[in-house]
Order: sequence, then structure tokens, then C-alpha cells
Amino acid sequence: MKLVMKMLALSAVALALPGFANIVLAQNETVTIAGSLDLSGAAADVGKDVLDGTQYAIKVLNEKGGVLGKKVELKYQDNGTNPQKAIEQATSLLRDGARFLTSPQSSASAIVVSKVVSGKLHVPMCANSANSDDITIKDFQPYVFQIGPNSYMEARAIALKLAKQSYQRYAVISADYAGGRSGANRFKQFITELNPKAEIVVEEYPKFGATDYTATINKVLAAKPDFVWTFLFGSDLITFSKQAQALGFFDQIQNHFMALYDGNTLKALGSDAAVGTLGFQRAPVNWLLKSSEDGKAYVTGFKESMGSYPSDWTTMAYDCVMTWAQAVEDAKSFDSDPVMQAIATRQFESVRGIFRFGPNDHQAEVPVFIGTVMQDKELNQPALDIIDVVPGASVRATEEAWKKMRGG
Amino acid sequence: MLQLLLTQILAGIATGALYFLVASGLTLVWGAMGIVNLAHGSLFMIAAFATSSVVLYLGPGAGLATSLIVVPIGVAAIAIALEILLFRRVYKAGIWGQLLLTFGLVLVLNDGVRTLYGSLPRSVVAPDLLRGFIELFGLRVAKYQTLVLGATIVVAIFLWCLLTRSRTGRLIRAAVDDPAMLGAVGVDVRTLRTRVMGIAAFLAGVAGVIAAPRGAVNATLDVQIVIIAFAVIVIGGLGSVWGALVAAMLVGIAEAVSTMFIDQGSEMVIFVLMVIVLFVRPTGFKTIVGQS
Repeated sequence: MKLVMKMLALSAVALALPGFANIVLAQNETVTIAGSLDLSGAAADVGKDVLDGTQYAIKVLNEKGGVLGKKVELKYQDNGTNPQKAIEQATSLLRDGARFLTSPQSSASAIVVSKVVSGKLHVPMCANSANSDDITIKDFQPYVFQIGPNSYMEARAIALKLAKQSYQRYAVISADYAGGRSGANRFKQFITELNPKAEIVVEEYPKFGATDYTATINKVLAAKPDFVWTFLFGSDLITFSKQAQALGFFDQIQNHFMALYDGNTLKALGSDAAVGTLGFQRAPVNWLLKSSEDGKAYVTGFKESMGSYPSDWTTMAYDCVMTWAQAVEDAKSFDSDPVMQAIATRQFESVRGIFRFGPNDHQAEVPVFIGTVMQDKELNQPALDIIDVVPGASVRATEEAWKKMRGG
Repeated sequence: MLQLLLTQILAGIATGALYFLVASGLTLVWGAMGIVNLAHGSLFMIAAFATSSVVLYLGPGAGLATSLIVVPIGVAAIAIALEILLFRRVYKAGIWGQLLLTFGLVLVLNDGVRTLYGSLPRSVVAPDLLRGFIELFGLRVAKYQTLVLGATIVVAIFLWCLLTRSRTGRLIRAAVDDPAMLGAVGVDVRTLRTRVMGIAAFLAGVAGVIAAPRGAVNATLDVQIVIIAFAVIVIGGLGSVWGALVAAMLVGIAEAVSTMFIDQGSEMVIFVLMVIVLFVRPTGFKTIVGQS
């Protein structure tokens, strides 16, 4: 009887094995990347673009056979632009086996997820749209890398340009959040260092997502600045621009104004865009279309697939996934340490050109784009007429600078 | 300094006018129905998005004029349907049941708007007639702000007529004072509640239409506006329309003037003001200005 039972058990195992092997094979045929994204709440517009860019990158990778022969799949959750929720979701997604994390969009969430989740679970995380320099400087941990120019680089690139002009009285406006504060502080630091005659005559930090900027506009005009530098974007910039136009703000300051633009904001602004003012961008579509065949193929491919031009946030998210994929192929492994070793040492190709990461801060040496707002007939929407492409390596924090900022 | 102070006071009045348009409906619903309607801001947001569609279709001038008539009626119809289908089921459930329902509605309506319009912000072009600014005694006021002020005056007159000259208004005032007694004397409280809900939503609709060309239209408008509106009705005294008017102006002015002295968090001023008013007068301005 015992022998019969053993035979039956062995038969059952033998029958089950092929199925079991199939399950194992199926699991091994895919690699999961994950993101706790700001798909609702204050940063929802950016979150949706990041999701689009991530999904498009995965589509492109899978059409080419995946990464190390494995199909890539995305698991994501909506954190409601809530840092605590982002931590919980990112932890859960990584514990379910994801090998790479694309960051939340708000700087506050990106910083805590980097420190508390990616750093502790030793899984690579790419900061896509969040560009506070704290991510790679003050709060750096070895498993994070930043794909866009950080607030340090943007502020330095802009300050270098403006310091050559005759402006002395500056106004600074930024939404009151980590990335905006970081950008504003850096700009104040650099512009006063590079131009000793420069002074900040007024600064304002309205709430992120404010619906009324009239009081801010009045205050800035009353201070009579030579130049108004802002770290406003998205809905904040749309609201500010409309209310500023209505009060004759841009005429009064003779268009001596600069803001952070992205493709979607320019498109939404339409005829309300402040033509003639300055702006900075991270991945302007009109530049990508003309800069290289890769850039053109990316923009047209995205438009065919998703029905619209990629925004700057979309391109950052796309580059995050593509950079990770290149690092994995180079390391010939999905394991975190070899992947991060590749990030720190090799050269990467992207639609914004070839770049490297800083070996000790994992900050991508990508360019900062500065231009003038114009109505682009080809795109049929406002765009920046790019006048300066500032190389990332020329404005990134030096080793001495980031060591000082890390307190080391 | 004096010039800037006067400019900020003027800006504050215009901002307060928009707050009043939203808060007046919210306080009516609270006063007459005893409901804390968290979804009131959602109706405002729906109106703003609907306006963006109408303006896109008909152009800035005709679009805004049409929206001012059609959209508030549409929003009122949505609110009446919600009152009949959902709110009636929770009147007896007490404050927690009402909060759960209206919070649920905030989420559902927000997701509905995102599904329909997407997550990207929209910009509604203002008519040429309302672009630019006018100067009053050397003070600049955006022409569009004058529309907001005009609409607020019209709404205030409408509410005054409604509350003092109509039977519905008298019943609403009676409901604010003693809703239980109103039912006991044979008034159809169910129909009255539906009417109040419709009127409040109509006001939220007017506010949403008027707010749309002022700034970005996005899916966070619901929560942003309702938080401020709640502060306004608490300061004004729950259920008091005229208290809400005074409070809205005070909040708008305090917010604008505070930017002269602090660089950040002018919204914090609203809540500081609320604490001070409640500390001095726990019932808000209601006792000063009278109820509705």
C-alpha cells in the first residue's frame, strides 16, 4: 500500500513538473519595474506625463526584444502626491520583486522614497521630474540617479547667462515646495556670486497650486525689479501668466521675465503665452526634432503612439527607463550593484545626446535649455526658441561644492 | 507703500468676491439642510471644466456668455439628481454618514473629471473685452476682476431678494432657525432641501464659470476652493449668507495684504484669521451681521 502511495505521489510530481517549469519560465521571462506616481493631487499633470513616458519606453524596449532577453512590465500606483503614501507603495512594489523604481514626481516624495525605500532596499531609483539637488547632493544614497538637470545646474546655467546682462535688481518667485525652494536658493546664491552688484529686491513663495497671484504680482511690480526670475511651472505658471497678462505685468517689466516651461504648459497657454519672455526647459520638443535623427524618431514615434508631443516630464521618464536598460545590458545583470556601477562609470545615449553621470553623486550631465517664448508654426503652439544649450558638465556641482554641501 | 496697500486691498476684494460666490452656496446648504457638503467644490470644478469645453467650441466671447447661462443650470441639475438619489438617504445618518457620502462624491466626481478631461491643466481664453486692465485713481484692476465683482453684486442682490422677498427664502430662513419646527408645521422639507441644493449648486456653477478664464483649470480646483470656502463660512457664521459675504471680503483682503509683510504662506493667514474670530466670537460673524 505504501509503495502504491509513493508511486502515485511521484506520478503527481512528474505530471506537475512541466506546469511548474512553465510557471517558473513565465516568471523569468519578464522583469518588473515600478513606480509610485503622483497621478492625482497637486502634481497630477506631471505624474500623467511620467506614466506616458515610462509606458512608451517599455513599449520601445519590448519591441526590440526587451532587456537581457526579458520583457519589461510596469507596475504602478497613484500616491495622490502624498509622500507617506509614496513610501508605502514604493516599498510594497519593490518587495513584490520590482528591480527598478522610477521616482514620484514631487521633490518631497522623491527625496523620502530615495532615502527610505530605494536606499534601504538597495534597488536603483531614477529621479525623473523631481529636480531638487538634495536628491543627489545632501540626501544622496548610492542607489539613486537623477536624469534631469537638477536645481543647482539650472540655477547656475541661468545665473551665468543673466550675470552678463545689466540687470541688478532681481525678483524671485517660486511655488512653496522643496524643489522650488531649492531652485530659488541656488539662483539667489549664484546670481549674487556671479554679479556682485545684483540684489534680490523682492521674493515671494506662494502656495503650490495657488489660484490667485494678483497680490504677488502687485508686490513684485511695486518693488520695480530689473528682472523677474521664477520657478513656476504647470498650472502655477498658467495661472500666474494669465493674471500677469491681465495686469500689464510683462509690458511693465519689458518682458524681463523667466520661468520653467514644459511643452504641455506652453500648449495650454496658447495665445496667453508671454511671447518675448525667457524660459528654461529640460527637453524641448522643437529642439529634439532638429537635433538628431534619434530625437526626431523619438518625438514622431511618441506622437504616433500616444497622439501628442512628449512633454519634458515625459522625456525625463523615458530617459530614466532607457538609461536603466542600457546599464542593465552593460552590467549583464539586473542586480542592483552592477547596475549602479554601470551608471557611475559608463556613457549613455539619450534623445538629448550622449552624457555621463557624476561617479559620486549620480547626477546626469545633461544640458539646460534656455530660450525665448515664441509661437511655433510647425508645432502649432507656443514653444521656446532655444538660444542657449548649456552643457551639464559646465554647470554641475563640483566635487568640492557637493562635499561642502554634504557637510563632508 | 500706501499705493501698494490700496492696490492689495482692491485685489483682496476681487478675490474675496470669488470666495463669496462659492461660500454662499455652501453656507446655504449647511444652514438650511444641516449638511457639510464637501463636494460643493467639485461642482465648482465641474463648472470650470464645462466652461473650458464651451469656450473651446464657441470661442471666448460667445462661449463665456453661453456658459454663464447653461453651465450653472447643468450643475444645478446634477446637484438636484444627487440630492434625490443620494443625499436623502443620509439625512438621518448624522454628520458621519453625510461626511462619508460627500467625501466619496469628491473622489468619484474628481475621477470622473479626470477620465473625461485628463490630468493636464487647461487654459480658458478670456474674451477680448475682458482682457487687460483699467486704472482707478492710479490703481490697476484687471478688467476680468470687474466681471467677478459685478457677478458678486448680482448674486448678492439675487440672494437678498430670494431670502427676503420669496416664500422659498422665508422657508430657508426658517429652516436655518429651526428645521424640526418647519417639518412639524407641515412644510414639505424634502422639496425645500432639493431646492436649496439646486440653488447652492447654481451659485457654485456661476463661480466655476467666472473663475475658469482667471487661471489654470485643473482637477485640484475642487479641494483648493472648498477648503477656503469652509474657512469663510466658519468665520462668517455657519448658515449666514451675509456673514459669508463679510468673511469672504475679510479673508480676501487679509490674504492680499499679508503678502506685503510675509513672503510665503498667505493662505495660512486665512486660518489664523479663523482662529482669532472663533476665539473672540465662537459663532463667527453671524451674531454681528445676523443670519440669512
